[in-house]
Amino acid sequence: MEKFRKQLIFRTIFTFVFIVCIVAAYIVIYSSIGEKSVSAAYSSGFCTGLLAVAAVYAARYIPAFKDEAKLKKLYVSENDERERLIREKTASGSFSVCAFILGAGIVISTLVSPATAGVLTVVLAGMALVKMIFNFYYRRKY
Amino acid sequence: MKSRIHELRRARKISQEELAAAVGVTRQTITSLECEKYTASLVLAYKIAKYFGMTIEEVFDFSEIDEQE
Repeated sequence: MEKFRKQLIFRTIFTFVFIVCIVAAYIVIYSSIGEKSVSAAYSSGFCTGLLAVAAVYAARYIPAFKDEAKLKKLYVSENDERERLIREKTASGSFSVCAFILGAGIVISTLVSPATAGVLTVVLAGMALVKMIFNFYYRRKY
Repeated sequence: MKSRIHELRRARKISQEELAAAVGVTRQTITSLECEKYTASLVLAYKIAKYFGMTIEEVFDFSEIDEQE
């Protein structure tokens, strides 16, 4: 449990650093691009979303430091083997579906906008590369 | 996979929550095991069997696996 507590401390610190970076990025974007620009509005929306995700994680971890029962509950929920199986199945399944949708998007966008098709191809290639790297890593590990 | 978890739990008047806490899983995992939706790992099977003071074969039914072979 002590190892898990240290992991949580690390994650919380990482989350706070992440929040600070996002706020800094938000300020820089806001002051340099300007309030009315579409890209600034898009970036600020994206930053707000990331902040919300970070805040949810922080809100999940911080109470566990104060209460041993909550810490154990969090440990069980994160290490439960059924939950892990669900996460693994979800990740592999959603990757296949996303790749298929992206593939279909590439085919359709080549007819409409070649630039969009190019971007989608790069995204799909990036996803495939990340999957290959992870696959290689886990094949070496196990 | 069939198991005797539900039967053993009822005989000893143990709740799913208590068993889950004792073996370090969520209550939903115990429910899934009892409903035969999920097959326990070797480690979890060992922990459950140890909790009831039995062997793995006494708690879990491996006849389906034997039939497949």
